[in-house]
Amino acid sequence: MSDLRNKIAHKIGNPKIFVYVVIWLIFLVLIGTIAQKDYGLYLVQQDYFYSWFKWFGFIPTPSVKFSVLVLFINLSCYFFRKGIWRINKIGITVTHMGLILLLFGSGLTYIFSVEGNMLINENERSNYFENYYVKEFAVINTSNVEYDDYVIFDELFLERNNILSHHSFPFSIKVLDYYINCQPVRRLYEGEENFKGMAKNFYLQELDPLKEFEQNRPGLIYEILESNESNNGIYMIFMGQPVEQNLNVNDDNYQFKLRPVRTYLPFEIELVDFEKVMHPGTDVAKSYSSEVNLIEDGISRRILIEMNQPMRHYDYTFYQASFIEEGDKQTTVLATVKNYGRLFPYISSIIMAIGILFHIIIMLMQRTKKKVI
Amino acid sequence: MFKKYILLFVLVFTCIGANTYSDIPIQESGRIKPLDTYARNQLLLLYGKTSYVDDDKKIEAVDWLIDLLINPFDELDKKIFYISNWENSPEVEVSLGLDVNESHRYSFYEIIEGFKNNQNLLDGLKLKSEDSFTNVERQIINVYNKLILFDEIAHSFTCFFPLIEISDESIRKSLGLVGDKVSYSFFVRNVELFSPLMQDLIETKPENWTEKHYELQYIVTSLHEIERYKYAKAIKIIPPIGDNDNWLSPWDIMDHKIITEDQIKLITDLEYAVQASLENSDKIEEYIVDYKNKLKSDIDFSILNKEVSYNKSNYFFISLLFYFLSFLLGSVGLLSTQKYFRLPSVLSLIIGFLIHSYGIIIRMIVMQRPPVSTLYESIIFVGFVVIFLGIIFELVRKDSISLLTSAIGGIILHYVGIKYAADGDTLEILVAVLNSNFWLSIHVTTITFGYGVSIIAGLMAHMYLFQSIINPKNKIVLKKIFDNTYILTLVALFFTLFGTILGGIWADQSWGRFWGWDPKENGALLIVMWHLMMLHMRISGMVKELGFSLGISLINIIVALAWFGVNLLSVGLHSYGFTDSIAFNLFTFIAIEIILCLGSYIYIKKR
Repeated sequence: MSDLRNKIAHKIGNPKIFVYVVIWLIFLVLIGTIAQKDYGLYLVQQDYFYSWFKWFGFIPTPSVKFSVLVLFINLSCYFFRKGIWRINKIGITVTHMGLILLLFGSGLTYIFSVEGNMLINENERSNYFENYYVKEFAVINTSNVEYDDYVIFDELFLERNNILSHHSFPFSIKVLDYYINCQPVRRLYEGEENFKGMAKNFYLQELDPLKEFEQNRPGLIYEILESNESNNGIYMIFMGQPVEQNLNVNDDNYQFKLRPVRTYLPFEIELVDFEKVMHPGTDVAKSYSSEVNLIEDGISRRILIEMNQPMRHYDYTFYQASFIEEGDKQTTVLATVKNYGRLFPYISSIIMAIGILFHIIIMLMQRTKKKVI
Repeated sequence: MFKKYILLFVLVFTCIGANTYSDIPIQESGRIKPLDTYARNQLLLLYGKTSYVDDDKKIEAVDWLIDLLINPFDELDKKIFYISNWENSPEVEVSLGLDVNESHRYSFYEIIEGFKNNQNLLDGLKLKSEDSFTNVERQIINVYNKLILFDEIAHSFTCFFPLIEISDESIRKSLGLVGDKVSYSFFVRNVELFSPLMQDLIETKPENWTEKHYELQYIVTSLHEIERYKYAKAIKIIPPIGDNDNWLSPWDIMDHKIITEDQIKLITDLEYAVQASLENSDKIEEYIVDYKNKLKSDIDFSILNKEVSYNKSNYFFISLLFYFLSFLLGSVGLLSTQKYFRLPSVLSLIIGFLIHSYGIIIRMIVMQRPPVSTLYESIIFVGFVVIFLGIIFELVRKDSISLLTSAIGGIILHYVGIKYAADGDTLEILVAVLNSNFWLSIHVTTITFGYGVSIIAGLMAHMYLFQSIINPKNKIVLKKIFDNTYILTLVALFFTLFGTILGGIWADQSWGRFWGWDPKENGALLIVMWHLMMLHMRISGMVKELGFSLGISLINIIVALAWFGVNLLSVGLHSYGFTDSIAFNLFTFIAIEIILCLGSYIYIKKR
């Protein structure tokens, strides 16, 4: 039994498989990098690196994710080999351990990490951050004075002809069209009678997605069904719309919003002061920093977040990423990340460095013995 | 033999005589630098070179700048503007209606005339968005911007010129004048003496004006006349007051409502120096020394002097010469099998390396940052790594192969570096995210070291192919070269892998993203994967020594793509500088490498 297991492991762990996969990865990474010039980082990441298959026309090929998984299995089988702990193999074994750990950590990060931007105006506070790329559609019942009632639909649901409904609101929403990027254009003539709200005077013109994916302005055209006569009709909404779309049904007020996916935090951050230092006599920023209050359970603590000096709290890390200035108003942009796998690269790189160094030393010693050198 | 080397060494390390004004501190692009560097940057921008040739006479950049500041009206007629060719077609010059000449250099007057005659073109371009510019249009706007900059620099010292003649004795007496001509700056410095005279002029009715009043009116008109140059604020040469970090130009001072005692003293020294220069007086040095002495409490002149010395000494060119000498001696030694060529060859390499290292250290002191922060610095540093490893291997193996390999690497990289510096190594400041971070410094140094080791491994593999062609029967030498290549590949893997992961750690520390498939990250990953591929091919028996050498010889292409190629893409955080010529040079290099290495491999196989 163990022989069979060893045989299978030997086959799967064949270094030739490693070579072929690495050749394929070199090809994918090379063309994936070149493709970024035309399609931008995000779309290429999704297409080449994070999908399971990369389609070349109608031909599916293993993506980077798939290939790395194969590599992981192939490398893991190395440990079923005999004699890997012999002195002349220890370096290689330790390096393989480090690499497996690195790949495992990358997998954890890929599956569990959450990241986004937290924007806070000076003297204001926030308890959520927004995803850079993924959007959501929110139906908010604002009738209660003390709280708002949210129903959130993921971007995945925003596909043509999908019906969105929930027991908490007395109507349903049919998705007529969803654009990743669009612009509102004023109609020359007022739209037909079934166009409601902003759709009466505007329509959404679909645009090609931008290379800088986070700069896209998504838009949704939807139809309200099963409500009263005056509400039923076609509506539109786009991200960053200056006037909210409201709907009044049975004395309840509903608000619709298309926005980046939000992740709420179990604490709040208040921006006390934002400061930027420029290189003297230039417009080039030398450094910028945010003085914030971390507010949790009513207790406030002062913290300074600087470039390259993030704030860490629980599993969250807040980095000084950028800032927005409009007149006297300053807004800090904190890149926020929740990552369970962040220690893996540190540990694995040390292990790999030890492994390779050990192997080099062993090789040099062996060659000196053989008097080849 | 040793004496010659020592003499050369002393020559190189002795500071080459600098002008008194070379180390005058000036603020440009967020940094205090010596006037010498400022002048070089401006001349490079305008003229395309760091020294100016006038009637076959070479003029140092700083002398050109001083000439321009003191005699602006003479300099406006000199052919200082270089308009580089776009794809060998003088389209820009034709668009501006210039009389195209072979040197493609034109004077301020010629270009301004060109813009005057084509006002519509300029107006149209100003309305157009920058993104939609064609290359020719972008170049036209560049020429225009250079024209504005030149104009501003040229008239920076007009406030010091004694342009106002005062003949009335009573006015001269009131102002405490000795000579009969004064500058605009004089009135700003002596406003308390001039105010009562002006008061008198205002209060006296024109019908009661005397000669004195008419002269006062002439003074006021002259002051207004000179004031038209007050836009010329490019030369930020006067330190600020208080917490403000922005230095001031002479015209800034003239405009200022409040001037401190110290600033007045500095302005006075500058004014006297300018006037001494106009009168060809020897006193100019005295005033400049006075001026610098007043700044000594705030400015570290030793660093400025080091920078001036760095600018003038051209360390990397001298080390290139030594590498070349080492290569020649080494080649002769190897071909003639005479052993006494080896020692001078090794010594040349070591001396070149010391000068090279000294140049890098001076740069680090001047910029106060790690050795590698810009593309140019990375080229110089990779050259350093290649030579360093070559020397170590040579000292251990004593076979001249490592010596020659590293000398070739050093020569090529220095050549590329010097060409790149001619395009614009201006000792620039860095944006915030790249500024002073421990992990970044370690990452960049490690990965660049990895590039260096990869390159020398690739060159060693070239040597294997070369040796297999010229002397395939000498298996001992072939085995030695292969062993070198194999060990170097492992070392290269160590540095590139570790450097790449450190890059991820830096990204994680700085903005919480370990890996983002950015082109530069992918480039580094490609090198790591290539090394891993070749090592596993060798381990699994897929390739023998020759095949391994072919694979590793091609690593140079991957390194070049990762190093320069990603700048072609202009996406991601890492694209730090690219010129069009790099694309052409890069693809030529790749084509030559493929033909050379594959051709050698096929030839050896078929033989």
